[in-house]
Amino acid sequence: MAVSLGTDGFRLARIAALTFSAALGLAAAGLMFEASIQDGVQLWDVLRTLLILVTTAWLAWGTMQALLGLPPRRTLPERGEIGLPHAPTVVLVPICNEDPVATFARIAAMDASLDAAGVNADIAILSDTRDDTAATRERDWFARLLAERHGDGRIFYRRREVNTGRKAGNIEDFIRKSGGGYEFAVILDADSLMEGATIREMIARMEAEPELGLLQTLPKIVGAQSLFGRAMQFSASFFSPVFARGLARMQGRTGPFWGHNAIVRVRAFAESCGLPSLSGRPPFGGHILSHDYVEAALLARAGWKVRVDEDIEGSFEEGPENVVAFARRDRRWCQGNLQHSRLIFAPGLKGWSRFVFVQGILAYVSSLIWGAFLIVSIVAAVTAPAPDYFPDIYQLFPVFPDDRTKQIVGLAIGIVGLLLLPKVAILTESALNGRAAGFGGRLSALRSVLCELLLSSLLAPVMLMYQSRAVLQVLTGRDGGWPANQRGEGRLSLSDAWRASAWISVVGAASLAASTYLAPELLIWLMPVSLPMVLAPMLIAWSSQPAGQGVFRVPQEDQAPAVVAAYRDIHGTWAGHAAPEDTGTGGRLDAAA
Amino acid sequence: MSAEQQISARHHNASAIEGPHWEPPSAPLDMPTQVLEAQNRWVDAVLHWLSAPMLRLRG
Repeated sequence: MAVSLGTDGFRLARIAALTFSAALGLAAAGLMFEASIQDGVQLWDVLRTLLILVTTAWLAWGTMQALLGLPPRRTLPERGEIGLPHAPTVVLVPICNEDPVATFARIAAMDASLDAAGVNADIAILSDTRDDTAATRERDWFARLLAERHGDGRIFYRRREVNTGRKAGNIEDFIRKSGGGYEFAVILDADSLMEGATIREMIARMEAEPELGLLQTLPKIVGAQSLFGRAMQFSASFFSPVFARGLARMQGRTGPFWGHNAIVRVRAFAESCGLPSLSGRPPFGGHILSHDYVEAALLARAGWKVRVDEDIEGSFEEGPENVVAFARRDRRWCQGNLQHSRLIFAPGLKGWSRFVFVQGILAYVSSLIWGAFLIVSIVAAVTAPAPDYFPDIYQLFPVFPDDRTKQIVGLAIGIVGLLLLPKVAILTESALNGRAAGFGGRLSALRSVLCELLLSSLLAPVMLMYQSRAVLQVLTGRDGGWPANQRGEGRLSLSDAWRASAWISVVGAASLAASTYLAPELLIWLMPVSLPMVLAPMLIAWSSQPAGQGVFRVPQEDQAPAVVAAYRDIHGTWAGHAAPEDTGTGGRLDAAA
Repeated sequence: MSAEQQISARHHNASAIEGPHWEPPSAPLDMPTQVLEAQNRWVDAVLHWLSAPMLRLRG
């Protein structure tokens, strides 16, 4: 059944999602409260109820997003055939301390793909690299890129003296100095890869809708090698399109911007998105870190439409290869999202933009709330008064307290159900509409989903700890900065993993010990959380090991997209005789080819 | 000789051939700074209230 929600259908979708989330949150809170008050109402019971209300509503929100995305689109977004010559377009590649061999090889592949698609776009590499030696390497490899692609006059490179405002400042600097020459700008990350035909399609959609200020694509992950990386790659290809379609059904005119693999109308961006430096010191003051969400909100504030079109194919990026790299990136995003708390009440923003900020904050704070829920549950059990079997003095028979196990088990099943439902629903959808064929067939997709569920369940408590620490660090005023991505770091030894996660093992062991001595009846409930924490170093090291293609198969692996294949070829040639440490990320991709 | 050394040798020093043609063409565009901070004094107060106990813990 295809679904078209019509012009105002997004309001209906938003109301349905919010109502569903609120209803399930309240139901969970009701069950928890009923189960908690058998020995009288205490502070801990109220706290526990509030915490389960927020966490369940948050889980239900994610579930609803997936359910909304299940039916296919009935109508595709407005599109037109690209007029030739098309509007002047530039592809922006901001870089900062990246491996130049891999970065410029990607650009060479995209340039060739643009050429083949008949797109006449300039490419501007905007370097914020601080290290002079690294900058010299960039210049060397840029010279080769120019020579091989005959790029004089259409492929540009510049390095800023001062990297004010980081990536957002880098783009802003380009727009202030050179933006007047272009109608559209495709914004990429250093690890982005886009087909020329995809960029052509994006230009066509922008030309067809003059009020469209920004069009975001859903990038798929390519080149993953480790178990963790491949699980993320599978998840991004199998689950994310459905979640993104659900998001698209709720977006209206206020869709998302994820910072890269998107096209903007330069004039709209220039007139709306000049970011101020926030008053005060980091982490809450200073430059806006997660600038993309804010830029989307500002475009919408100025009346421009911002939209994600998840149906656009040919948009790729790379992902972290292990939990530690993921957590490092997450630390930056956590700070960026919590900083948005300063902007929730910024003047003139659309209501949905404000809500998106709240969502971003909840995405991180929810980990802390889950952690708080577990702690409060232990405290509540420890401080609960002993049962009074003879409340009346002249009572002949004892009165046993009501057994509330049913409520608690019901609640646990409900929460697990909320976690499983989207994945099971998406698996069913893929089996029914044939999408599973791209993932090795129905059985292969089923095996991958089961493995992903197992892996994500094992790693969830570890992620919860990293996220909780990140939130606490930001709240205590610790600025994590915005360190460059360390792409290509893959396999971790047990000692590497131990150094990065020993504290999680200690917390896990302490929670088990505390529960054993103080509240043994909770031990069985804590096991699924505490055991993975104790085993965190082993899990992190194990999941960072290279994994074969037996599980987590994705379509882009069976047949590499043209631009990805071209990148691998170019990178292979360029890095062919280089020392292994110079091959960077591309080395992994070559191995995958 | 590594590929990278070959590149360097071929171009002697890329920075020597670097010139204005490497820079994107000049076409200035005004980009006014947006106002985002207003009416958020109480949000700051909430943030301060949330952070204060943590800061005390940190000493």
